[in-house]
Amino acid sequence: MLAQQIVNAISLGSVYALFALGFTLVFGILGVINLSHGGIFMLGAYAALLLTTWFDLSLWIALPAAMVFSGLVGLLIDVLILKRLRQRGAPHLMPMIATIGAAILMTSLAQGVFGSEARRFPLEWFNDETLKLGTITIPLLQAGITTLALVLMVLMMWVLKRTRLGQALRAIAESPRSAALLGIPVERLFHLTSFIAAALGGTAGILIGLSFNAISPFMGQPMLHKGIAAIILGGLGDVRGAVLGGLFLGITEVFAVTFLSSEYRDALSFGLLFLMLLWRPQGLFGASATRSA
Amino acid sequence: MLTLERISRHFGGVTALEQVSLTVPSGQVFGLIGPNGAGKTTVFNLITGLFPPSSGEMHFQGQSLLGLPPYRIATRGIARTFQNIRLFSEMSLIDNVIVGMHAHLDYPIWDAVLRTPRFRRLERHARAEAHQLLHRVGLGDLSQELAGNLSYGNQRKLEIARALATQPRLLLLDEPVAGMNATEKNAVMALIESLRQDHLTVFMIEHDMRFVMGLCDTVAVLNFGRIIAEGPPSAIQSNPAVIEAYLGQEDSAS
Amino acid sequence: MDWSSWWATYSTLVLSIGVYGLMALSISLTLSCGLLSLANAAFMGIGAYVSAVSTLQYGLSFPSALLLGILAPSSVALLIGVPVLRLSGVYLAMATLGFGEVVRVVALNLDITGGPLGLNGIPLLTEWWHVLLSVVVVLLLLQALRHSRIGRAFEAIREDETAARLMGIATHRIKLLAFVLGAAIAGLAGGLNAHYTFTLSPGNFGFENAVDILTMAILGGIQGLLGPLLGGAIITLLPELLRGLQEFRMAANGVILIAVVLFLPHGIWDPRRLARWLKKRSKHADA
Repeated sequence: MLAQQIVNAISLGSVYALFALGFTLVFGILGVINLSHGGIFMLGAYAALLLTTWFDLSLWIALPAAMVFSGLVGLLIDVLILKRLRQRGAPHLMPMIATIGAAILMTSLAQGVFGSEARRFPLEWFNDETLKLGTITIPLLQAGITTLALVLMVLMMWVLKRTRLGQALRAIAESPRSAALLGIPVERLFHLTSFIAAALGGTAGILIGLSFNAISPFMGQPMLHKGIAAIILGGLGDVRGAVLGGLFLGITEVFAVTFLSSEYRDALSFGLLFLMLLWRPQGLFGASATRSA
Repeated sequence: MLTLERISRHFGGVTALEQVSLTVPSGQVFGLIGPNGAGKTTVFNLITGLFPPSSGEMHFQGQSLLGLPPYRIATRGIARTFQNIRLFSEMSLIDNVIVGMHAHLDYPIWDAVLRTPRFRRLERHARAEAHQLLHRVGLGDLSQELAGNLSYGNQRKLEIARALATQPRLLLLDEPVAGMNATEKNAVMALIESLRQDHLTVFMIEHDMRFVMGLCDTVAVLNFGRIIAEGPPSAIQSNPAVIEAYLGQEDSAS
Repeated sequence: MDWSSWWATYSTLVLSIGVYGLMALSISLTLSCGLLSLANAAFMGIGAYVSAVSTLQYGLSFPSALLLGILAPSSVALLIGVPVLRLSGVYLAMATLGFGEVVRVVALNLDITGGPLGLNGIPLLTEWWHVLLSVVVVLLLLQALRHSRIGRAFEAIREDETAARLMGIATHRIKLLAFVLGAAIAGLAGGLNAHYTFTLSPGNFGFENAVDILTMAILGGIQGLLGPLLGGAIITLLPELLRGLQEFRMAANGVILIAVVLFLPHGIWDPRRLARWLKKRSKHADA
C-alpha cells in the first residue's frame, strides 16, 4: 500500500515538475510569468484527444504532434503579445494581465468548441497491462507517463547545462542586454524558449489527461495554481528548483489525500505556497533569488 | 555633521568599500571623487540606508544611522539625488517637489478626507513653497510639465529641488552636473553656492574637476574602495597618489 | 415595459454595476501603488459571508451587518498585509492568489458558511440607494485621498518605490493603507452583494472573480476614478450584451484584457490623454 502510494506520488510529481519546468523557463529567460501556461496545458490535452479520436492516429504520432501544436500556441502568444510588450518596455504587470486574458480566451474557446463536460481517451488503451516490480504492480500507462516526464526533464536540463544553446539561454537569463551585445540572437531565443516551454506544458497536459483519463476546458486553472506553487517552492526562475518543487508538491498531495482528507488537497498547494512566501520568498531550493520580478 | 568610521561593504565576495572613514563637517561643501567603479555611489547608498554596511559605524549629528530604514534617515535630514536620475516621470514638476515634502506635510488622513481648513492651509503652503523651490533651481516656468518631458539637465535640477523639499540638513548630490552643458553647470554651481550661504551641508560626488575644485572646501579621493587622500582642493590636486590613481585609470582606459 | 416590471427584471444587474464598480475601485487602490494584489475577491467574499451570517443567523440589523462586513476583511488585510506586502511584483500576485484560494477552501469546509452549498435565503435588504450612496461616499473618499499627501505617495511608490522611500515616505505604511482600505471597500461591496442575491457560495469569490475585477480596473483605467466605475459597468453588462455568444461569452473578457494591455495600456478613461487630445483639438481649431 505504501509502496503503491510512493509510485503514485512520483508519477504525479513528475508531471507537475514537467509543467513547472516550462513555466519557470519562460520566467527565467523572458522574465515573464506566463499565466496562460495552464491554458496551453489544457489545449495540449485536447490536441492529443482530437488527433487520436477524430483523426484516428496512434498515440505514437499523436503525442509528438500535440507537443508541437502546444509549442506553436506558445510561440503565437509570444509573437502576438509578449513581443509587443517587450518592445514597449511595458511594466511587469502587463504581460501577466495579458496572459491571464489569453488563458481566459483559450478556456472559453475550448468550452465553446468541446463543451464543458470532461472528455475521455478511447477506452481500449487503458487495458490493464501492468509492470511488476517485486511486490508493487505499476500500470504500464503510469510507468510510461512517469518515464516520459522524467526523460523530457533530464533532456531539458542537459540541454541547459551542457550545450551551446543552453549557455546562450543562461546568458539571456542573466541579462538580455549583455547577451545581445555578445551577439546572441536574443529575440529568436525568446521565441524558441516560448515554443519549448509551451511544448513541455502541453505534454504535461497530455500526460495528466491520460493518467486521469479526463480532459476538460477547466483543467488548466488548477494546474496553473500548482505550477505557480511549484516554482515558488523551488525559487522563481530556477530550473532545478521548479522540478524539485513539482515533485515535492505531487508527493505532498498524494500523501495528504492518503493520510488527511481529499477536501483539503487543493488548498494544500496554495496554503503551502502562501506560508512559503511569507517565510522564504526566495523558495525552498533557491539560494537567494533577488532578481526583482 | 556626518561621520563614517571604518565602513566596509562586501557584495558576495567582492569588496566595494574597505575601512572607509570620512567626516563631513557642518556647513561645508564636501566632495568625493575617484575613478569609475571606486565605490562612490555605494557610500551614498549606505548613508541613505538602502543597504547596511558589512562593518563600521555611521553617525549623523551624533546619532547612529545604523539599522534605520531609508525613510527615517530622510526625515532625520539627509536628502539625495541619483546618478541615474530617478524622478517620478509621470508626475508634474510641482508634484515631484511636493512628494519631497511628504514627511513635513504631516496632517492626519482625516483632515484630507474632510478637507478641513488646516488641510487646505497646509496644502496651499506646500504648493507655494514648491513653486519657490522650482524657481530657485530655475524651473519655475515649467511647474505643470511632466517630469519625464524635461531635458537631462533640467531633470537633474528637478532632483535637487525635490531633495531640498525634504528640508535636509545634509544634501547628497550624486554627479549633479553629469551630462550638462557649460551654462547649466554654472547655474548649478551658483545654486550650490547659495545653498552654502544658507548653511546647508553639501556632500557631492562629481567627475568634473573644475566644478569640484571650484566649490568644495574639502575633497576626499576614493580608489578601489579605499580613501587614498583627503584635504583641501589645492592639496588634492598635487597629491601624487591621486594623480597615480587617475593616470592609472586613463592607462587602462586607453 | 413599465418601470416596476423593468426594475423587477433588471434590478440585480443595476445593483451589480454599482457593486462591481466598488470592487474595481477597491483593486485600483492597490494598483495605483503599483501592487498587483489579487486578494480583493476574497475580501469581498469575507465581507459577504460575515454580513450574511450576521443578518441570517444572528438577526443583526443591516447597517451593523454591513459594518461587520467592512471590519472583518479590513482586519484580515491588516493582519496578512504586514508580511505579504514585503513581497513585490509576481510574488505578491501569487501570495494574494494563494490567500484567495485559502479563503475559498475555508468557506467550503466551515459549517457556519454552509460548506459547498453556501448560504441560502439571505434577506433581501439592499435598496438601490444603499448602493448609490456607497459608490458616492467611496468616490468622495478616494477623490479626497488622491489630492492629498497620501494620493501623491501612492503615485510616487508606483513610479519608483526606492526614490519614494528616500524622499521620507514610509512606503510600507502607505501600501498597507491602500491594501486595508481596498479590503474595506471590497467588504462593503460584498455585504451589499449578499443582500440582493439571496444566495452565496464559495465559488462566487474564486480566481475567476478576482480576474474579472482586475479586468474591470485595467479596462477602465486607473488614472482617474471614473475609469474603474466604467470598467465595472462594461464587464458587468457584457454577459448580457453578449448573450448570443453563449459559451464563447467569457472569450470576450479574454480578448478585452489582451487588447487593452496591447493597445490601451492606460485603459479607456485616461484623463491625461483626454487633456492632450483636447489641447490638440483646440490648437487645430485655432489654426
